[in-house]
Parts: sequence; C-alpha cells; structure tokens
Amino acid sequence: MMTDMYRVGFILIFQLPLMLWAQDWHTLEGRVVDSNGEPLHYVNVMVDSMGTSSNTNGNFSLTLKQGVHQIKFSLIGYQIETKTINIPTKAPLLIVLQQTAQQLEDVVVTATRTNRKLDDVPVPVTVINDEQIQRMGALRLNEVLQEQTGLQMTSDHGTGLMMQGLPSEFILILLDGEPIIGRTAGTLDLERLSVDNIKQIEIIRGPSSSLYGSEALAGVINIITKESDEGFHLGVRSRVRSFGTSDVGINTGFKTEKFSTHLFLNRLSSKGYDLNESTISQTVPPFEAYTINPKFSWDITDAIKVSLNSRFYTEQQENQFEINQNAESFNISEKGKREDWSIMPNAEILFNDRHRLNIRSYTTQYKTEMVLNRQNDGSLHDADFFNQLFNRSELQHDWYISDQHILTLGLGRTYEKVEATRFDGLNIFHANYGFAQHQWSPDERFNIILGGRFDTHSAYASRFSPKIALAYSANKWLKAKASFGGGYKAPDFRQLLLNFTNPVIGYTVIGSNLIRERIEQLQNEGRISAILIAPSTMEQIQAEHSIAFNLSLETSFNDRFMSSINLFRNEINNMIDTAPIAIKTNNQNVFSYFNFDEVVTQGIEFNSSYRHSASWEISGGYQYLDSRNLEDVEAIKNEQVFRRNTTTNQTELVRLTDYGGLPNRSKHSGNFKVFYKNMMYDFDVALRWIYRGRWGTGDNNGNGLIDASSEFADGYSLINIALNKQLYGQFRMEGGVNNLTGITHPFDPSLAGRIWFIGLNWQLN
Amino acid sequence: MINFKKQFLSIVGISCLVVMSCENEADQSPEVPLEVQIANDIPADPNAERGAPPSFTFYDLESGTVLTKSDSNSVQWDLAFSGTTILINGGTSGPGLGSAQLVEGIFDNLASAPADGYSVDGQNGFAIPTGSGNGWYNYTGGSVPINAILPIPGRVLMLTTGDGNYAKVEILSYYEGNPDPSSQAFIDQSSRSAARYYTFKFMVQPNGSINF
Repeated sequence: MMTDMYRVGFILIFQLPLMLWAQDWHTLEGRVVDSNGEPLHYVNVMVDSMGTSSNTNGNFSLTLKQGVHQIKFSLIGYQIETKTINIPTKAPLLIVLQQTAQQLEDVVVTATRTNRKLDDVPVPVTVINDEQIQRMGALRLNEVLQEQTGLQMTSDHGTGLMMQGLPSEFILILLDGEPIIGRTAGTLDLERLSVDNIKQIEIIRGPSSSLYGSEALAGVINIITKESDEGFHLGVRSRVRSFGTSDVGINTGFKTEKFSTHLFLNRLSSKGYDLNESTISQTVPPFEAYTINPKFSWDITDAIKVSLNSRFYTEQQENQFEINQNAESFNISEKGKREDWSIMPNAEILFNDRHRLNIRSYTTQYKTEMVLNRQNDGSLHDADFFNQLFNRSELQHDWYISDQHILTLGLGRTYEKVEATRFDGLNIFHANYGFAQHQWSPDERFNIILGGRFDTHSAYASRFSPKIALAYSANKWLKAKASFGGGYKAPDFRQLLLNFTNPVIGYTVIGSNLIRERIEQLQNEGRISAILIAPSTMEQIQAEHSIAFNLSLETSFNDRFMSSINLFRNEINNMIDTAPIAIKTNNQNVFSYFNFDEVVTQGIEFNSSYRHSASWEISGGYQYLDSRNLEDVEAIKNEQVFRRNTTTNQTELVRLTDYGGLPNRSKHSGNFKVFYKNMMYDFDVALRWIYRGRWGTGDNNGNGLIDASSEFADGYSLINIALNKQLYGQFRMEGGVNNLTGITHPFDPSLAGRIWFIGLNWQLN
Repeated sequence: MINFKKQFLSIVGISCLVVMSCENEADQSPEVPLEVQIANDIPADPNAERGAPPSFTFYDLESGTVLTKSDSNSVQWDLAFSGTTILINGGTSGPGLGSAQLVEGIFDNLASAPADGYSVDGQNGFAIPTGSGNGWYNYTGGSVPINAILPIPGRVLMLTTGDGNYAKVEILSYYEGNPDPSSQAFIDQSSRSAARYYTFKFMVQPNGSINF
C-alpha cells in the first residue's frame, strides 16, 4: 500500500513537466487486483459519466481529458475504492480492492459446530447473508426461506416449511446455535422471527442429528444474529406494507476492545386480511408483535470470553368466528397471546492454540393463551393454554490436534417441563447426550467428517445417530461431496401426553405415556367393550428415525459462473401414527400412537448463478421431489387400493402411475432471480420469480391416498420485486411489491394477493 | 361441474335399471340374471341429538325397501343404519341369519361370496367394524375435504341376509344426494349436503347360492 502511494506521488511530481506539453485527451491505463494480488475481472471503473470495466487480467484503460478526475472502482463483494488522479499520468494505476465483510466471513459454524470455511465443509450448506436479506425487503424468516431452492412454505398451525420433502417437525431451527422451542402440531411458526437483525442464515441439508439430536432429521436452519462492529452504531429501519402492516426495527450497540453489546428492537403489526368474505372470521387476523434481542460479550482475557444473548417476544392477535351448536349459532371473540423468552450465557476458554472449551447454558420458555368469549353476553366459551420450559446445559471441547485433525467432544443435559389444557398435570422430562466428531483433512483435496451422538430420554427409547461425510476437490473447478447420516425426531408432546375425547363423535386419543393407566381406568369404569392390543404388550414408543444420503457436485468455472447439483434420499422409519387399541362401549375407538409408517423422500436439487458484470447477476434453482409412503406403494402393487371414478361412478383399481406421493409436496419447484446494481445512481433492483408446482392436498375419493387429479392443488408463480436506493449519506430508501400478479390460493392462505411496501432506513455508524 | 353432471346422469341411468329390476322381480324366474340395485339416500338417524340413544333405519335387501321399526324383531331386515354404524340381522343385533365380512375388490368382478369367514354382531364389536379405516369408511379429519366420512372404494360388504341369502353391498356415499366429494360445494362445509344418508349398491342372490 505504502509503495503504491509513493509511486503515485513519484508520478505526480516527476511527470509534471510532461503534462505541460500534453494534448487535451490522454489514455489512463491501470489494473485492479484483490488483496491477494489476484486480478479482478468486471470491476466497474467510473469517471464522471464515463465508464469501463476491467478485463480478465484486471486491466482497464480510459481516455480522459487533461485535469483532475475522481475515479470510482466497484465490484460486488468488494469495498468501493475512489482515487483522485491528475491527468495526464504515464504510469499505469494499480488499485487494490478489499473484500467486504460478507465475502471474508463465508465461514459456517452449523455444519460442524466449529468455524469452518464454507468451501471446506463436506455437507450441502446454503448461506444467506444480511445483504441478500436486505435486498429482498423481507420482514419475517418465512419470506427469506420461501425464495430458496428446495424449501416450500406450508400453512399448518403457523407458517412452516418443507425441506427435502420433509415437514417442519423434522427441521431443527436454531437461533445463535440454540433450538427455538414452541411448536404447534409440529410447526414452528417462522413468522415469530424477524430478519432485521440477522447476520447470516445457514441452511444444512440432510440429517445432522449426530451433532444436534432430535428434529435435525431433514436438516438444520441456524439463524446467526448481528454483532456490533468497532465503535458505536445506530440504525433505524421502518417499513409499511399493504394490509395495514408496519414494521419498525432498531439495531444499535457499540464495541470496544474488550466489550461489545448489540440491541435489537422490533415492532410489527398488521390489520390482517380476509380471503373468505362469507365468514366473519379473518384469514389472517390483526396482530401486534414485539421482539427485543439484547446481546453482550466481554473478552475477560485473550483466552477467556463470555457472552450473554437473550430474546423476548410477545404477540397478540384478535379474531372472531361463528359456531353452530344445538341449532343455535353464536359469534365468538377470540383473543390469542403468544410469548417466548430465552437467555443463553456462554463461556469460551482457549487453553492454547489447540484446545477450546465452550460451556453454555440455554433456558427458554414458550407460552400461549387463548380465550374465547361469546359476543352476545361476554361469557367464557372456551380457554386454552400451553406452557413449555426448556433448559439445556452443554460442554463442548474442540481439540485442534494438527492442521489435519480437529476433534470435537460434547456432553449435555436437558430438562423440559410442559403444562397444557389438553395434557394431564405437569410433565417433566430429562435427557442426556454425548457427541463426538472427527474432522480430517488428509491433504488439500480431501475433507472427511466422522461423527455420532447418543441420546437418552426419560420418555422414549435411546438413540444413536451416526454421520459420515466426505468432500473431494478433483481440481480447481470441480468438487464432489457425499454424506450419509442418521436423523431422528423425538415423539412430540401430544404423542406422549395427549388425553383427549372428541365431544361430538366420542372417540378417545391417548398419548403413549399414559396409555396403560388410562386404559385401566376406562376398564374400571366399565367403558371398554374390547381390547384390540393389550397395553402390557405395547413396546415403548420410539423416536422417528431416518437414514439419508446426499451426493453433490459443485463447479465454479471462474468467479462468475457457479453451479451445483445435489441428489438426496431420506428413508424415514417408525413414523408415528395413530391406531385403535380398544373399542369403547359407545362403539368408538380408543386410539394411541404407534411406530409404523415408512416413508421415502428423494430428489434432485439444482442451483446455478452467473455474475455477468459488477451490475448484473442472475441465478436459478430447481428441485425435483419424489415422496412416497412405502406401505401405500406396497398396497397399490398388491392391487388392494381402489378409487371411485367420478365420471363413471364405478370403482376401479389404482395403479402405481396414479400415485401422487405424500400430501403437501410439490414435485417441481424452482426460482429465478435477477439482481441489478446501478453504480452511477447508487440503486439496486432485485427481481425474483418463485414457482411451486401442483401438490397433493388430501384424499377425496376414500382410499386414503392421493391418486386423482382432483386431489391436487394448482401450482403457482410469485413475482417479487424490491428496489433499494441510497439517499444522502445516512439514508436509504426501499420499496417494491411482493406477489406482483396478486395471486391468492385456496390451499395456501399465506398468499394474500399483491403486497406493496415502502421503507426508510437511517444508519449512523 | 361436468363430472357432476355426468355422475348425475349415470345415477339416473342406474335408477332406471333399479326400476326395471323391481318389475322383473315379480317373475321370480331363476333364469333372469341378477341386477345391481341402488338404494338412494337411506337416512341413518340424520337428526340425532347428542346423548340420545341411536335410532336405526332397517333395510331389506331382498325387497329393496326401508322397513318400519316394528319389523326390527323379524328376520326380514338385513342392514340397519345409524350414523356410521351398520348392523346385520344376526348375533346380538337381531334374530336372523345375518352375518358379514369385508372383502376388497371391484364390486362387479366379485362373482361369488366367500364360503366362510363371516362374523356376527357381538359384545366385542360388530361384524362390520366401526372406526375410520377399520370398516367401510375413512374419516378425513383435517385434510381436504375436512371432517368428511368417505366410503373406502373397493371395500365390499359380503353378507348373509336375515333370511340366509348371500348378498354383496358397496357403500357409495354417506351424504344426501351422493355428492361428488371433490366438488367445491362438498369441500365447503357450509354448503355440504347433510350427512347420515346412505347411497349404496347391492346385489342379492335369492336362491341360496354363493354365486352372483
């Protein structure tokens, strides 16, 4: 750097006399390189209204008028560099562009629980950084994930998602490495999570139970929140949207040499919307949500670092609906409240270069409350609550044995407490676990991971989850990755604890934890007419578990064109479903939960991106998905499945070619994105097209599986456009439209039609 | 909509056959091939009140008619309907020779009834089991069309009647007017036609043989 400055100085002084004789127009030549001295292609070189870009060798040339000029050098992923040059100058100009933080930080933690370069990780990982999130104008996590290849959003007791054909209950969602609790019917509502304080989202595909235990069966999504940079910063971002939606977020904090703090505050409210005018209830009711996210960290010494992260969230919503009971109809007011909080103290001790010890504790609570009142007299119609407390303490030791070997060992214990209207009493569970992982890089071409985790639990059988992964770099542009792993998902609360009798039909469902005592109780009350399965012969319920393979090829022909293909197959055994265990004297069944179904999901995911120049970038993705219940396939092969043909009203055999797989899965889905950045006027536009092909909704011809065209919902396309414009200094403006064509869909209530948005961002650094 | 129309026409068509077969029955001639008959909208306690004892509709397959309650102690009735429960005239349910079993197959292709394997209604359950997936129907629960009782296609009730004749029955619908469950009118619960109305097709062999 210094030598460059001297050189420029030298040129300016010693070539001054030449300039006196020079003509009006002169050629300026130069070269742009990165901090490693590698030439940079397609760097935008702008002088006043003229511009050019660097060639493959990083060289450029411009013809300029005599005099002083400001030259601006820019390239996506690099910090903008401005030079003042006095023309003419004979010596070529050398410009060094520094990579922006994101580019340097393409380090992922989720795949191995150690910081590794994305390139070195042998499992399929997607990283979404804050810049990409900002470009989209997204408010909540579901909006970001919806635009990723292979992820499909679902609406079932909240907005969930499908990954590799597996639903929310099989996807672990972490916030700064700790699991977020609070699922309803398996769905963790992604709308609880604001994206305004996210530094990076890491998506790991394929099972990671070998590191994370339960739920990490289809994959893991880790949300890593922002930390403060040096000094003080304050940012305020406010946005308004259609449907009376408004969002205000504040990110602030400071960092000194030893101490760092970050505070995030967010308020989101909406008037909601109604897609069905014939009912008094709204499809999405009005709501108001607050998030507070304080973080502190303190480097006590060079070797000891402590931190405390916390989160507080509260949300309220109101709705109304009509019910019919005994030929009378009532209007009911519904008031719902949802809260969660968590604290995560964390200590990191570096004994020396080789040993790192991480001690952490995580306590979190999730609560919901719902009150239903009759509108005519205000009397209580029904009330419901759910209260879950979760604590986990964990010790992790990373041993950097040599450049080639990293060994990670961990031990942990969890405590969980659940109380709810539908469950009897207060329920307490304990679990212990240990995990080990060895990362081995025999040479520059190979990266190997071997790992496993053992989990014991007080309410279901113990599990061992293995993982093997291998990456091989054939050459500079081709890399292959293969991984094999086991995943599992613990039985959920309702599968263990439910004690429910349908008031209208009269059947009973009992969780596996209670089945013996409840059957005994029903027998003593004389309400059982027949036992179908003796509770004493029932085995302890097992976790749903899977084995999965992922095989991928990644190519990057140069910095501009990248492409990857991933083949996956998940085989899930012991899927939990209900089956009758006894018949009651009212001729209705008593159901309990059993392990029986076997399910396979498999497919191909394809991603590609191309950076045409500093201004243009396009990318696309596609997923083909095949999903099947093996029992259904077997029954079809044995000619045991029939359907009623709606045209002929005749019963006919269902053939394997009619079989539509598991519900809610789209066989085809994809996206196409164009990003344009204008260097001259400092604005950017992100245009995204998201496609979801048709998917099975449910059986309507009585055979319990999807086989007829009327059992599919139509596919749809979404077009989202966002625009960002830097205003004077600290202000940035954004605006755009989501769902441009205004699509609504009877099977996807989250599609509300066209949504306009506009926002203003003020950033003080 | 087109499907619905076609279905309606086919129901009308089959109903005509039923009328013809009723006329033919007067001959009592054994040479006449057996006809598939259809019973439309047989009520199965549609106005049931919660907590009240179930009220059954008694049906005679041989005559294709609904009987009065006073016939419930006779051997004349063959099937009795209340909600999703179907009784046969045998065991604890009636004085007749009725028994039943479920077989899988296409109604028209089942050329004979099984010789054995029948059971009667008893303390430990009915010959035609109740509960979703156990007997003649699936309950859709939360999947579209929600909260619907749909007959399992290909599940045929093989019966002996109160008089001891063999018969086969396939339930077609649990809703008034045999609506198309994939139609929007059915999917929307507020416009769905009333439940607890059976439409079923059946065939009786009056000569005591197991062959249809």
